[in-house]
Amino acid sequence: MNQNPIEDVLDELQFTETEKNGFMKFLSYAKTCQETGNNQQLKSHLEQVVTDIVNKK
Amino acid sequence: MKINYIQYHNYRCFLDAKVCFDITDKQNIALVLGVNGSGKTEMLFSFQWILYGFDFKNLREKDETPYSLNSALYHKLETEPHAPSVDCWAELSFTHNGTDYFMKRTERFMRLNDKIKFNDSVSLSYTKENGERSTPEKDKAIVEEKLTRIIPKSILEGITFDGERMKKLNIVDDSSKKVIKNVISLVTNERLFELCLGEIKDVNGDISRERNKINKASGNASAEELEDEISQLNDDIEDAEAGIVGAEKNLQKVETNIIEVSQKLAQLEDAKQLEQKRKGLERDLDRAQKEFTQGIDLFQKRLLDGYFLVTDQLVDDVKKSLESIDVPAGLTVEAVRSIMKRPKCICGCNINDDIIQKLTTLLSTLPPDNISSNILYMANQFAGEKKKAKDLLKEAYDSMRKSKDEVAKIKSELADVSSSLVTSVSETVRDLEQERNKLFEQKGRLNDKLEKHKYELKRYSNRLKEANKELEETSGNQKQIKELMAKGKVLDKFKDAIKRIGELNQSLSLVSINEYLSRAYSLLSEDTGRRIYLCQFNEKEKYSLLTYLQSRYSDIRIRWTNSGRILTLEDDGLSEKEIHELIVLQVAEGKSTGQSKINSLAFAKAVLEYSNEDRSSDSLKVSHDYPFLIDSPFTELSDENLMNVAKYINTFAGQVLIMADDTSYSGVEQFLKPFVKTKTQLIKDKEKGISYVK
Repeated sequence: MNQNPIEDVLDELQFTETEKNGFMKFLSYAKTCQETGNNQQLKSHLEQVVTDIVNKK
Repeated sequence: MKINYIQYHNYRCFLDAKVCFDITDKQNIALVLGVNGSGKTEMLFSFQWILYGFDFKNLREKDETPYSLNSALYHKLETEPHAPSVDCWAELSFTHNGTDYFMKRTERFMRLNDKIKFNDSVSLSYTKENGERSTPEKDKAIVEEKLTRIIPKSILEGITFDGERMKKLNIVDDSSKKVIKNVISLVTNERLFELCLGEIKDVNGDISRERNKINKASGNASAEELEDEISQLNDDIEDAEAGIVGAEKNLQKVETNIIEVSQKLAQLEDAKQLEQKRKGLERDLDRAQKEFTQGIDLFQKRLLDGYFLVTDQLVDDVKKSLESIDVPAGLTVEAVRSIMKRPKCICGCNINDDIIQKLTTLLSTLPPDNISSNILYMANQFAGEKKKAKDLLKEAYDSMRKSKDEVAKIKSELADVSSSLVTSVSETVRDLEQERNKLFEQKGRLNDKLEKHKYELKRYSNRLKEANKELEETSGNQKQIKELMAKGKVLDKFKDAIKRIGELNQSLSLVSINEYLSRAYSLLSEDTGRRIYLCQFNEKEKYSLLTYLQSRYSDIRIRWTNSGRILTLEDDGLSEKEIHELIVLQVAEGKSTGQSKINSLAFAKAVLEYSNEDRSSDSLKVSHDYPFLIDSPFTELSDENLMNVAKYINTFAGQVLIMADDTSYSGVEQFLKPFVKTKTQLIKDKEKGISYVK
């Protein structure tokens, strides 16, 4: 993608820095799951990311 | 991905054969040569058969042998009642990310109740780190899932080219758009977004159930009700979204059918003239309807402008207020200040502190000087604005009415054309027109449906927002509920972001693919005056591969620039790329030109280059190293086109597998030879119908 359009979208949607980090962590893990074909941990990974964001708030 | 070898047993024209496709970095072409009918196309499609299965009915001129088994063996089974079952298999070995894989598909043919039946099985194994082969995976679903991650079916279809496929890809129709769409959706990794959205939905569901449990336990009935409503709204939103996708898909189908019927009618002598007239009227209708829509928008805008200028009452009030201010003439702020500066008043009394205080109080109650003239000036200005707004509104209304009348007039003329066709002497014309009228009715119904779903989606989404807010208020201060609500909000944000990034990713990817496409086309095509373009914004034409003459494009751009249309489009918020596409659509060539093979080759090169880009720092897409498989790339090409393809075909992918006949290869051998690592010759035994590998 050009420059960093993901960052632009997240800014537009008013993501906080913590939310941004969590979202990117989730996206990157999803990409790894897709490459390895192992999605089993993706749901618990997402739950953890969301819990961390809420706790930091 | 690199293909190592393919091996056959009783498969089609190959009884027992093995072909290796070794390559090196500098010599990346594996060549298979053979005369017509020696099995080159059979070999090309065997890759698809091994990996995903293949319907042999798709093979041209092979209607009589729609099965994998060698035809002589098949006939033996047909004719000999006690013939034993016979196996047909093929194995493909390939390397992906440093691991060697072995994919084998077997079909066992047998005679059962005088009919030929077969069972198929697959096996996928790989070389482990210690060099041993893994236990083969035989579950079809798992094998397919694993293969999809290495080389998805659509990609395999997208990078496997035979002559027929080349032609199809270049014809602007639904099937070619579908092929292109599938390839693009895979190379842009749309699955990643589906995967993320699926997980978000799952976790959101868990959260909602958890909240419901807590609300139930605490006896919060209103929260419970809201939870139910939210869950229902989420389902409704999903249904509306699916409804939109379905209606759009059906609409596209109906529109294609309308085009097909119209094309048939245009070819019939009895309908030719009327069809020409109809086409002209349809163009006019399209324009008039656009003008009418623009007219409505303008009218609404001016109506709103006017609404904000409803100043009659305001102006009257201001005037009345001014009249009611009882200030004697000459008693201005300036006059009072001047008195305050003097030692004595004009009446002779001294200006003491008491008088100063009184004058100060008076000053604070006086209106500023010139207020009357200022407000009057403003009021008159308002009146002027009001008149201007009224005139503009009338102008917009007249233009809207004019467009509306024009639309009605063109529609009536179209109805006349239709009645003439329906009452035509030719039965074919009558039938076709009736069929088209039915399709138009269907189109109308689908459009209504689409609008309904869009309206519902908006309504449900708005209500969902409200319901979530109400739930937050109703749920009170329970810590657990608050935490779950906060999690839900984060997930909603994630969902929005995934959807937006998905759309953005696709549009940016299409921009990149278009850039690759242009470069590939200028490299391969001898026609320097023609350009290629893959439609990306126009919903109807999206994924159409179009060519156009640059000179015609430039003419239109100059015309649009001079007439101010470009500026208007920019004002409407269209980007430069969208404007470019609008012009391309105006000048696009409808029929496939003599360049069709070059177009398809340019598309294949663009997609392969895009897929094979380094993506180590990309958070969305993964890098692939797909090979390129092509049958007869040099036929139907001549002169510079042929030379360019021969010169650059090695640059299409890391591994290029070419099937070619000896004659066409000899014409380009000088260009290809430096890049050819392996050369396999297919020899056909015409009598036995078997091909051998040399």
